[in-house]
Amino acid sequence: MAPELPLSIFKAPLLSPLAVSALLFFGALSLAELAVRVARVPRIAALVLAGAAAGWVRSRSPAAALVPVPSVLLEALAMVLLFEVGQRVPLEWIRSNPWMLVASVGETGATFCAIFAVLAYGLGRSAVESLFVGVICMAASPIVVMSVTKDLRARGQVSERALLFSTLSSVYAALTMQLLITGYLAAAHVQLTLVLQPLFQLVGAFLLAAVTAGVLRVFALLTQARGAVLTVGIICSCVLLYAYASPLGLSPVLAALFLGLLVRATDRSHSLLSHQTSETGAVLTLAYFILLGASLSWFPTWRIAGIAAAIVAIRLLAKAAVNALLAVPAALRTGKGAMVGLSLSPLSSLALMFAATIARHPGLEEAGEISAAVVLAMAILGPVLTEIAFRLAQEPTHPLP
Amino acid sequence: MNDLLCFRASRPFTLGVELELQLVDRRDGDLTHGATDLLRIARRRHPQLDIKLEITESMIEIATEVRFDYEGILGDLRVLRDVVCEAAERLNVGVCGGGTHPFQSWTERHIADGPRMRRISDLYGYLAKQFTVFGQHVHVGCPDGDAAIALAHGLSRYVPHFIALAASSPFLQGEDTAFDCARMNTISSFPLSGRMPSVRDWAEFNSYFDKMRSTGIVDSMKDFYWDIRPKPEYGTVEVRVFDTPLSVERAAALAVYVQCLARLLAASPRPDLTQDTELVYRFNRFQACRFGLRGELVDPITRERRPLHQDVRETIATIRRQLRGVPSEPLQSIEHCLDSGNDAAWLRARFAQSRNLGVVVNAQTSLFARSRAH
Repeated sequence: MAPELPLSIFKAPLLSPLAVSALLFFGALSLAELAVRVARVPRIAALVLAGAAAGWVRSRSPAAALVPVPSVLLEALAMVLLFEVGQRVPLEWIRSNPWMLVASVGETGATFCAIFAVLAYGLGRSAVESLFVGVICMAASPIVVMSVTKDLRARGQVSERALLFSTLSSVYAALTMQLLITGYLAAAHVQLTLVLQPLFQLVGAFLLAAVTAGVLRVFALLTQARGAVLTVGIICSCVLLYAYASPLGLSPVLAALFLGLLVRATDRSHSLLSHQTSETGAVLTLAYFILLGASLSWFPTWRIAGIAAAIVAIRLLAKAAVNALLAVPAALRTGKGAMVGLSLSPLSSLALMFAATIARHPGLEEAGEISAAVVLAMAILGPVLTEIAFRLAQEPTHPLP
Repeated sequence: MNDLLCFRASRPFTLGVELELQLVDRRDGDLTHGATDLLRIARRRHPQLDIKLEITESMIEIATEVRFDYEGILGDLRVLRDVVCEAAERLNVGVCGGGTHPFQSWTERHIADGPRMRRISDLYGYLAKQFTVFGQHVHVGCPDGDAAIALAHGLSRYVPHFIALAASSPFLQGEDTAFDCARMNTISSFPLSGRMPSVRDWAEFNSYFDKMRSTGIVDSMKDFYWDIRPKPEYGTVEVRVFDTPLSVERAAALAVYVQCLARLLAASPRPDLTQDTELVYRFNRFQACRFGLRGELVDPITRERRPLHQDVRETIATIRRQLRGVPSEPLQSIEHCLDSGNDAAWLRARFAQSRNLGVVVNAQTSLFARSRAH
């Protein structure tokens, strides 16, 4: 049992769970801003770290532990941010430069293979465990890439490619994970429904997103909403999507991405494009990263931490090497290709969700712990590495403070 | 010091065109960073073409070969446009004309690498970043320095024509400036901008340049940001007041218009270097920038005011009457501009439809690539 901290403040009867939640959030935000101002920690990493500190306090105090980690809120926030990713991701680029697709499949596939090989052959883990961890860690977080891009106002090839590749790798991971879990539950009996699962996911998520996009369009037309009102409308649409996706057996991640893509494709007047939305979007980003930090689990054992460190290293190496290798045919310098790979290091709520999902299945508990440990490392380190990559490529345009 | 500038003779009335182009994000239309990456692709595939970096990573410059006729200039510009657009597509970057970007924030610009760019940035500070404006430069060949000085003074009477016909910078920093050509206001911030001094020949020009260099005010001819200046190393006179038009077809037509005027002036040279000319020059230039083709011109001799568009029409009529072998297409293109409005009017019309400057930039990008050969 964790030792109780002498924080008598939490024992005061006036401190309700709601008040403690607000205090923890307030404290985390202050800590993050201090880290940014004093220690010059990149903002996104500072928010995750501060959130993790709040999560640690929560885990050490009975009063604070009354505050639930609102995973539903975290996932709903992720939906809103994924909607924005969908609006921003330049999918049409694949048509004008097919090497982008080759590079994306190549870097995700190579990352999976490298992690699988290290776990299965280097560290002697079972093939099933290695498979699940490999799929979770082959993705990168488009939410983090987008947030760092927005924070630095980065413009250029590295940030654009990082957003495209991280989004595509998340789509590959979401589809493969769904397939793997269905297959695992079916105990290796190949069924028609299993084979059709990815197709069902894609079509179902697209149709649900199309209906939601219609609702959002009608809302925008009727109200002529702009700024904060429009953002609240978008949030409502994303929460609706989230509420219906899971009961229908669909991936909320894919549905949110599709919603963003559809809105962008049909919004000829750009009235719904994210650069016009109010500061409400920035508030959501702050809340998301603090909640993400608070949701992270610390390394349960040193052994798990060691395995996670090995995965982090091989994952970074694979992403940087393959992106560098495929950069020239994809119309980029090799050095910048490596920077794209480096900027693809973050993991966040999507990987966390997958880790939690597999940890619930018997026999996969430790795979879940390993994945969560990698997510912990890359949720904190990832934004820093992404920022370093963008700075090396001289893409931030943020004026000096 | 006293190193005389050597004017390299060139064939009279030959033409060369340089266009500064915007590199924009295809998603939201804002300026993006991509000049170095784009240049690398374009040069690897077409090393013979003249495509260069400019002062920031958000712009590139293309330049034609030395040509004599409209077809040559237009052909070169179309090839350059296709190469640049093709390279840009591989990078998911948009390319467009226009004298200013409608809503970019100058504080976000990066000065490109290179000793000259760094020197400009050190000397001019924030002005260097505000210099993210986009122009067309037209070079006209001259047989010697004296002819170049005469031509530079002669063409200055037509500067309002050039500004009004090419004007494509009505928006700046997200606002409608009420000017058709806001770009020239940015250039006016530089100490050595405006009209070339009233020197009478190449010897006087050399003397002036020597004084400026000996005081350390300038280092080379590149430090003069005049509206029209001699370019001794090329053997040309360079007209620098055009905004980059929204299409290469308009750019080629304007270049031929300059060539025609140079031929007219050569047939009847009459350099006017009085103080009244200087006074009127600034007023007429302002009228063209502010009102475009709806502006008024003041004649320094007769003191009369007349509509700018009427002056252009009469000049075209004179060209047709007095010059032989002028192709009809470029002059018709200019008349079309007089009838339907300049690029600034086109941009304002797009904005009136969408009320969104990002959509306006997307329309500019489509227009620039419109007649691309696939």
